[in-house]
Amino acid sequence: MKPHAAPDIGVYRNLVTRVMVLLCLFFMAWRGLSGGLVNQLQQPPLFRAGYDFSYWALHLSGLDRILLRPAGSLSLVFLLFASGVSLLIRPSWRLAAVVFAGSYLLHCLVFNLYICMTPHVQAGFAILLWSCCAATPERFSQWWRAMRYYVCYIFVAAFLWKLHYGSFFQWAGGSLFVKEYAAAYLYYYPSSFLAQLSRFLLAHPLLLNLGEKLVFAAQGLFLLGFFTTRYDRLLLVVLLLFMLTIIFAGHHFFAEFSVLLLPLLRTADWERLSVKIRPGRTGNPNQNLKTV
Amino acid sequence: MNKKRPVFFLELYRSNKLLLLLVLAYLGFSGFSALTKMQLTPVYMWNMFAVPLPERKEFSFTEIRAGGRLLNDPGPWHYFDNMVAGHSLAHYRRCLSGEEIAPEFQTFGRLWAISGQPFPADRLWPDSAALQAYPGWLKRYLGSRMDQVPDTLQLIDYTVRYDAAGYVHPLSVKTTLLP
Repeated sequence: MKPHAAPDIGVYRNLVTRVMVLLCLFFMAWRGLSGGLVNQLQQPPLFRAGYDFSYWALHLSGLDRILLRPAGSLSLVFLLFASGVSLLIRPSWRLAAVVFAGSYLLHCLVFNLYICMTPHVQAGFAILLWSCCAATPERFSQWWRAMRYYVCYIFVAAFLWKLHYGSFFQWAGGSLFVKEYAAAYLYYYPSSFLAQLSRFLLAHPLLLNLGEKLVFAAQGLFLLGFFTTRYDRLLLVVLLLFMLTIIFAGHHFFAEFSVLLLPLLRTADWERLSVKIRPGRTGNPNQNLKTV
Repeated sequence: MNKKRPVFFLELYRSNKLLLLLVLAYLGFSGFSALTKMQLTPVYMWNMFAVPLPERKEFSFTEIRAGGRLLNDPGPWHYFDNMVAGHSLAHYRRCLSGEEIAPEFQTFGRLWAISGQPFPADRLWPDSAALQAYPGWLKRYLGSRMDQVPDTLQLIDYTVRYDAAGYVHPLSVKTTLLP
C-alpha cells in the first residue's frame, strides 16, 4: 500500500485556531478575575511611554484615554471576548480573527502603557493570533511556518543579547537572580515547597549557576530551528523547561509563553489531537486540504 | 517522490507577498530597534535578563497594606493580581525620587522639527497633576479589588539579607503612608 504524504498543517487550521484562542481567552479571563483588564483599571492617571513608538502613537492620538473611559474600555473588552468566542465556534471567520487579534494587541498596548511596564510575555499571543486571519488553509500553512520562525527568533535574539550585554558570562547570575526575585516570596512563604526548592538551589550555587548558564545556552539551540524541523521536539522540551524554570526557580510568571509551544508541534501531533477529540475522523490527508 | 520545499522567503515571494512584507518589516524594525533602542510593541528587543545583575548582599521589596491586609501577595499565582499596583507604584516612586526622568527626546525633537511643529515631549511624560492624582487612583483601584476604598495605604519597604541556608532576614523596615 502506498503510504500517504504527510498532511499540511493547513488541514488542521481550525483546530490550531481553537486551541490558540482558547488558551488566550483562558489567560484573559484569569486577568479579568485579577483586575487585569482595561475596564477594571479605573482610568489611571500615570503612564510610561518610554521609547516605544506604539505607546507614543497611542498616547499622542488620544486613543488611550478614549479606551480607558468606561464605554471605550467595556467595548474593547467585549469585542475581545465576543470575537474570541466567535472564533471558537467558527474558526475560519476572518473578520472575527482580525477583530480578536487587533483587540488583543490594542488591549496589551493600553494596559501596558498604564501599568507603566511592558511584560514581553504577551508577545506570543500578540503576534501568533494574526495567523488566524489567513484566508485559506494554504495561506495559514505559510503563516504558521512564519510563526515557528518567530518562536525561534525570540530565543536566538534573547541568547545573542545575553552574550552582547554579558549576563551569560556572569557566573553568579543564577544565585543573584533567585535572590533578587524570590526575596519577597521566601519572606512570606518560608515553609512552602517552592521556598524549599529556592533554598536548595541557593545552597548549591554550582548547580544553580550552571543550570542558569545551561538554560541560556539552550536558548541558542533555537538557531537549529531556522535550518531544520528535525529538532523541533528538542526545542519544545527546551521551551517547556525554560518556562518551568523561570516560573518556579526564577519567580517570573511566564505562563502566557505557553502559546509559543504550539508552532513547534508537528502536524502529526495535531492529527492525533484531532482524532482524540473526534474519534472515527481520520482527517483524510488525501483530500484536497479540507480543514478539520 | 516528495518535492523539496523552496526556501521560505522565496515561497512567500511567489505566493504571499503580504506576509513576506510583514516578515521583512518585523526584521527591519528589529534591526532598527537593536541599533537605536527604540521599540514598536509588539516588536521587542528580547534583551530581558541580558544585563548582568549588580552583585549585592541586600535585597528589597515593598508591601502594600490597607488596614493591615496585604494587597500584593508575592505568591506565583498572584502575578496578575499584583501587576497593576506593583508596576505602577514602582514607576510612581521612581518619578518622585528623580530616579526615573523623562526620556531624552532631543534627537526626535530635531527630526520632528521637519514637520514645522514642536516635538510634543511634554505629552509623552506624566505631568505633576498625574503624579498628584496617582495615590487617589491607587486607592480607588485597590478598593475595587476589596470591599471598600481604603482611607490610606501603607507602603512597607523591606531591606533583607540571605543567610547561608537561604532564609531571608529583614535588616530594615520602613513604613510610608500614601494618604
